[in-house]
Amino acid sequence: MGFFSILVMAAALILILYPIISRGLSAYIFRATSEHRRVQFTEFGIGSAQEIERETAEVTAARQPVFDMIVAHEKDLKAELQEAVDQVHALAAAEGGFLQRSLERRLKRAHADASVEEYLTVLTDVRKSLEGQFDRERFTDVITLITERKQRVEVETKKLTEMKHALRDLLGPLPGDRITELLRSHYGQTRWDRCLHYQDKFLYRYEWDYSNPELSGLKMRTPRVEDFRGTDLEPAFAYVRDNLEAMMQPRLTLYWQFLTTDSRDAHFFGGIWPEVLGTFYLTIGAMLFAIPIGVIAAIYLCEYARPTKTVSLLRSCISTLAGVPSIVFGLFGLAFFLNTISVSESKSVLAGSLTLALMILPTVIRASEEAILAVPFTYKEAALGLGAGRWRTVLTVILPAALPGILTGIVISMGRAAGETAPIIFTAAVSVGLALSPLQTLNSPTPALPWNIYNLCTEHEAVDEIRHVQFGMVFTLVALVLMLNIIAIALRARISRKLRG
Amino acid sequence: MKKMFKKIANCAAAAALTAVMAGPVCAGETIVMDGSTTVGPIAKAFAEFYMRQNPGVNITVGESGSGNGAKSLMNKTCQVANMSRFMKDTEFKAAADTGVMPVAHVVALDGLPILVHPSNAVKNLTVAQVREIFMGKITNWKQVGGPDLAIVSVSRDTNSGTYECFNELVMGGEKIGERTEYVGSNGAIRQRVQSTPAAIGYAGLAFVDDTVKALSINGISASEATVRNGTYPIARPLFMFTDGYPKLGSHLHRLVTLCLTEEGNSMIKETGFIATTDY
Amino acid sequence: MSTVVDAAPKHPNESSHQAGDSGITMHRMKSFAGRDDSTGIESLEVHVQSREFSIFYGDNEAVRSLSMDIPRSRVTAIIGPSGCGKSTFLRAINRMNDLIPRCHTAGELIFDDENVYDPMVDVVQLRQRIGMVFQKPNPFPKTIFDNVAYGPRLQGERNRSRLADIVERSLREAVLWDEVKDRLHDNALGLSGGQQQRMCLARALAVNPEILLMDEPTSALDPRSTASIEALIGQLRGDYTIIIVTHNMQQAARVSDFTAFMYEGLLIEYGNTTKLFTNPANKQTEDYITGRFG
Repeated sequence: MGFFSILVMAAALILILYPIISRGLSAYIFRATSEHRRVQFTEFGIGSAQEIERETAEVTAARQPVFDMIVAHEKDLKAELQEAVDQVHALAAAEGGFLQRSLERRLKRAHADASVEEYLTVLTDVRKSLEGQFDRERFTDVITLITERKQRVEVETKKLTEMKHALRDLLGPLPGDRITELLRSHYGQTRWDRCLHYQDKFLYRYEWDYSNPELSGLKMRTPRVEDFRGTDLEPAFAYVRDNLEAMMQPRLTLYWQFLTTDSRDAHFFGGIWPEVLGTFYLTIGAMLFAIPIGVIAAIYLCEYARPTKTVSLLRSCISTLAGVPSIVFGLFGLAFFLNTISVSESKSVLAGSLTLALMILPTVIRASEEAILAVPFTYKEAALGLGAGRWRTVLTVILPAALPGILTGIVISMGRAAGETAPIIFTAAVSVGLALSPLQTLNSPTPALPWNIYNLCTEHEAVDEIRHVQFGMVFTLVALVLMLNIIAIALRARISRKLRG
Repeated sequence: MKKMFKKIANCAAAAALTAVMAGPVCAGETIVMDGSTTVGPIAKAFAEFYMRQNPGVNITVGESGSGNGAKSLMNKTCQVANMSRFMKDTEFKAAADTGVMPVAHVVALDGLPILVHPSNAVKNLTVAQVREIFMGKITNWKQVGGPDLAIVSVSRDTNSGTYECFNELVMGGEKIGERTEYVGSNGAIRQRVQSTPAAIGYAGLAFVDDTVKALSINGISASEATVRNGTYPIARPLFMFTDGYPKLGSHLHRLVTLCLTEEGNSMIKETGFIATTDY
Repeated sequence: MSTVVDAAPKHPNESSHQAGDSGITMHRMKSFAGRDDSTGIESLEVHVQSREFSIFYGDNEAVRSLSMDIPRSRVTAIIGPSGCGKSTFLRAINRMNDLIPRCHTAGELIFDDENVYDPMVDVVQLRQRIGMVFQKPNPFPKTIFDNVAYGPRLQGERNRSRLADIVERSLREAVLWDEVKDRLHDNALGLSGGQQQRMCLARALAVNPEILLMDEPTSALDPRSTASIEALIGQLRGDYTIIIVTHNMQQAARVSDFTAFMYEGLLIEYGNTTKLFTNPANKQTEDYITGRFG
């Protein structure tokens, strides 16, 4: 029976831990592309300049054929419009006078370096002006030509824009793109698995087909190459399909800096150091407050308190407190520590630690009480018999003997303090912030692993992009708590061995 | 025993030293922003941009909801309250009582999109239809030209500024039906809608991606033009509230007026919202 | 004199190969067994005196109006059946009964011209002058050194070399030094039962008490350890006043100068050991000694 239950527990543990470990490790160990290395170098200064330059040159060389094809295609589109523009030029020259001047003015923007969009705008403008003419019947040919060309090119341009959009998602900014502020648009995909995802979105167009009114829409997948049959862009798709590795240069990387670097652009890039440090501060802070108060309270309850009704009431209050939901502690912390006595001007690690300390206090008290009560009475007797006062006995004999049990209580509470979200939502946690120095913990809030896991999984604007960060955080939190527990258990084992001789 | 304590003390000192050296020793200012999850992406982008330009400043961004943002501002626990709705008069009164004078800065515009699952054939609804769906009067998609599925309406929680705006602009005072689900953030709305073919919800513009479909309302879809000139019926401004107008030239002032700069403009556009000005 | 040597039951191990080189020689055995029979209590200095001393557990009177003079520098044994109150009385002397919540006393217990139960008495000081060895050895879960040095450290001694001297002296007095001198920093719980009890004795001696109370110190030990403890008692006699409570009448007869017999809280007979065991004045005493009840 015992063996069976162990088996069941082990199976449950593996079921829970396996995805955490496997997907969490993928935040640390994954196939990273050249974009990742570029981010690391530009944002965090990791890597050598020559390496990055060399790689960028290689990658650009691999991508250049696609860019060239795009440029060629755009030229073709412009050439189509150019015909219409030339016609307008000819018309203007033929008409002369006021109309010529007004048309020439408008056509000025359609110069050789202008983009397809600008050409289109110019032609729309021209057409409007021609249609507004009093004797527009004379220009019907030109107007028709403009309309026809515009329509065709607009359709082509729309397809091209979609394709460029998909390519940008994959490779990063295309040559000639204006660089915008948000970091995420400066780089392509940093992870190979995301590359494959976006490669698929580049090669295929997904649409919803609502043709059947009885059923819900169906997701249709058409190869994007169909949109560009017969154009210069047609070979681009096969090229991207076959040469993605050369364009991205994926390499298996151990990204241990995930643990030690800040995050950039709402966790799109970078690591989780502020969160890890925040969790660390909160846990240690909670311990600093809870352990002395808890142990001293336990000593009082065991050694000094006389069995009156008040003390029984106190004991039952402590037991009840152990069962209060953590959100209540969070709200209490907000109301008391922040709004009433204002331990800090804003949310802070201090307020969060105090709230967490309150939450774990009952556990610490209970475990310490049990440990102290378990100390054999003979030790106390012997100490008192040698002339030790009550407090000296507690300090020099009982506490050291009770230390393993007290440490057990501390271990349990530490795991809880590190992983609880509700107490820190209102008192300490923010979504984004810098890693704090120890002095700043007194008055600054901090990101923390439990809260940020929730935040990244639900409230983030691009949840699917940062799945690896979410799992990485979960894995790190589990590993952190496990490590803390192992240290404390090892410590306890050492002390136990010493006590037992 | 003594040796062990010494070891522990050494480890703790080493860890503390590493932390001190690893974290930036900012002697500078801290600005705390708190509030709406809708304004969140903008606030986070602004914060990072500003911190990069001014390394001595630590800006933290919390996302606990517009209502909580207002409360924090009143309790003076934050300097900037991001809110996706204007402050209610009860909040103004409470603020005045505690000596806080909230000043609104419009940071961006949002055309509140009504989201459905991409497989839903419905492309357009009127405001009245949306209202009746959320009231519970219209219960099946086929009543509005969609598939034969029972409608699952998802709303934000009452603490949310997005909810308040929706309530004001769409519901117009009518009560939301009992069968509506409530979720806590824009991201949660999107997740609910993208996983449920019969769902309908609303979020901020930044949260629209290709896993959900935004409907046009009264025939008008949300775009820069339609939101700016008010033709899109469910358009709203996004605010950052401060306590009084910040001192000119201070970090706080530059942060809340970032939306008026070219870089701020481009960041707002990139997140998906609509900038108040047009460069 | 010589007859007493034969009359005293000899332990098979009481030969010259005692543990350690400070073993007890036959010569010492002789003087140990050769007690001063003729000396009465009256001619000796009184160290502890109880006057109509009673101890109550709640309403139950465990010790009834006990009056006894315990002489200095001698070994006094208290014997009696279980529950007669002998341990209770012993623990009253250094106020260990204070640990029991419903225990209160009446009468006086005079030590050094002061009532031990006077509220002004510093109990901590009292317990440093009256040491105690318990029935079951109770070393602290610390090293042997820290155990024995515990008392002196309480008294404020910090100097390491002085502490080391005190520890060595106490362990030598307890005839344990040679066995543990190489492992002073091992955990005391690793010692055998007899060694632990000797260590507890050393620990008690380290604070230089005037009186040693021993509450059935060998009842949990094997015969060999018992013999060594009893030999120790004989050695310490003269330097310390020893009051020993024992279940074992033969032990009382072996080690003590004076014996008190208690029954149901009352002191039945108290006097010179040899006389009490060979010619008890009270019938109850005789019955107990001859084993008619126990």
